[in-house]
Amino acid sequence: MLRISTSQIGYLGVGMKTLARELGHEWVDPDRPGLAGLARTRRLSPEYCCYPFRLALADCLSALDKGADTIVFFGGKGICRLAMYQAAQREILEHEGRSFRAHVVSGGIRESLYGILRQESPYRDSWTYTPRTFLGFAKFMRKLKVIETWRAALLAVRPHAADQDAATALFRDLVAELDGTHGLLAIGRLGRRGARRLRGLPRDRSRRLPRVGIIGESYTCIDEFTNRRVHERLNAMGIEAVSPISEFAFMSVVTRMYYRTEARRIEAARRFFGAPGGGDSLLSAAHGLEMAETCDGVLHLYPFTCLPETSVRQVLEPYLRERAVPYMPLGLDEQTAEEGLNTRLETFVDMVRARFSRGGLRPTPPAAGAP
Amino acid sequence: MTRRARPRDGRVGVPRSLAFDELRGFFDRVLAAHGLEAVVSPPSAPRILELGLERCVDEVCFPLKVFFGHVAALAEAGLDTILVPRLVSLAKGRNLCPKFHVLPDLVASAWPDLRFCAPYVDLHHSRRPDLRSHLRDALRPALAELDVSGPTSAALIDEAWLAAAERPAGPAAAAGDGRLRVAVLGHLYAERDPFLGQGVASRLERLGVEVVPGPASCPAAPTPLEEGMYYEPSVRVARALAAHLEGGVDGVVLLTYFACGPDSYAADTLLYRLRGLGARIPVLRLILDEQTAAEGLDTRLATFVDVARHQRGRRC
Repeated sequence: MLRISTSQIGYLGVGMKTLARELGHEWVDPDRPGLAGLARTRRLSPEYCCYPFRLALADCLSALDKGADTIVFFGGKGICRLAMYQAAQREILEHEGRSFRAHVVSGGIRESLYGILRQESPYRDSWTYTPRTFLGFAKFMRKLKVIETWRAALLAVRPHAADQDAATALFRDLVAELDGTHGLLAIGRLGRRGARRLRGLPRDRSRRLPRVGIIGESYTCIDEFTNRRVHERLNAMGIEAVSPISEFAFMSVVTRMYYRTEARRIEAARRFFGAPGGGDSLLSAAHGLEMAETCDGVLHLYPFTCLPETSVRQVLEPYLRERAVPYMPLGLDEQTAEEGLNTRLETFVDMVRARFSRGGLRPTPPAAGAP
Repeated sequence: MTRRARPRDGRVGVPRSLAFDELRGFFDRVLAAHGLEAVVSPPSAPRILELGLERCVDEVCFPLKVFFGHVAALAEAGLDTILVPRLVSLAKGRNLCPKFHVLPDLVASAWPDLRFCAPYVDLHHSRRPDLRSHLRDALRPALAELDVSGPTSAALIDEAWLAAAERPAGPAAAAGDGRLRVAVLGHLYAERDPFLGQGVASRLERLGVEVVPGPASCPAAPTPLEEGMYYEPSVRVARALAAHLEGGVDGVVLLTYFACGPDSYAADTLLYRLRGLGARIPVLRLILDEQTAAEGLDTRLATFVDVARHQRGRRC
């Protein structure tokens, strides 16, 4: 049996725990340190690495402190520097005297994850192993899908809710309940019940609110700690936030499972890029295109100095400017100051409200020669 | 670019920056062989940077901002067609930085009225075994779009390759005059463009140091230092570092750029590995951008040279 862990992206651990459990392993949930707790990883990390690197390293250290003996790194050979995380993180952790087994999931990611989880599994020689992997992955993805549905419901309901904090608390309680639910049918039942409860929260349905599309790098968009609960802040300002990025979408791209929607989106982004620009650039640009048509403004989240997302900025800015869609790029790291963030969001929201009051989503015909 | 048309006056702009500087001799010859004049942008300078900053988003690396400046300079010079190859991979199993993959798209978004000729160079995914034959395939569609492709194009591209080919010479042998030997390692453009390299080599020479050339002159033998790296510049730096350690240097200056993705990990990984190997030479990691101050740079280099001298004294 492995005591297994990996870096956290939002609520990904809720699904990973079920998968590990199904195959007879123990999942170790890393504790996310506060901003002050990140000092240790700042000391160890390369000087200007991106924010997710430091967070992932903090997760690894926390998991090892809690007794994990195996760390799964998502990476390998790719064209974003994410793929180099594992090489640098392994060097750092070994330099710190940590002893652990490192497994890199890359290439045929589903297959390599199967291979890793098969090691030391109590079921490895049993005929039940293969059905267990299928069941484990099905539960894993089902849980992530449930979280995606709940989050979409929360984002739609919360800005209209009489008590926004209660809506957030309900969402968190539901995720905690999901964390402890392991049957495939039970997950489905809980998913439906949770969505009904979220949609049934008391709210003011009489007024329409401006809508902001949140696009960008997956880690930053999904992880509340990384994005400083920007969705919640927008909701509190009376803005509906729409985000096509979720743990489920992230894993469907990574594993190529349930991939059709994301593949269609990526195809749409080819109008901007003649080649993949690394990381989430194609998907991010595609989301930008979608949000320009359906939202009153686009908020672009990414880790400060993220190379692929700065490329997206370069192509998306003129496109959105031409269509008069308010756009705000927001590069985040642990030094992002609370007040600065609020000020920028307030200014952006003012622009969004102005567009909304002028008639909002009237589509502007693109100029000749525009991409 | 899909429209087939000859460039105005038969002139094609070639930005003197990034990896194009490395392949420029080849591209110039290919264009000339097809009856086109390659107009190279002026050397990098503060004005070029200023022009670049007008069209480029912030948070990108210093060399990319300068590259935008080179394109702006060519646009100012009245060129309507600019060669910006899409460089994905120049070696099997290795990639260039993602910004090279989308460079034609980035500049096209900033200059929608210009034509960008963007041959797709991706040796890693090509069936061709070497860069020479892959470039032949990659350039022909681009030349067709410039309306200059003909039955002799393949032969002309081959000739241009042979004429422009440079043979790596290996690390320079010690001059033997007792001066401190310091290797300056970084991207090739940092080595070849004094503005991008911020004159680090000449500053060291003024301090009485013999500067050992970087990756441009190093052999292609793989080294354990490069394990897990697949970005071309990182691999080159790792190999140059290994060659210089063997050849005997008194110190290493690693030139990196602020916000450079590959550098941010490769440099630290190399430092950890050097420590693991027990290498006892001082390494100075310089992070450069357009705000790097000359005085600060000189102070750091002078301190580094003092440390390297001191450590050499202890080794002898």
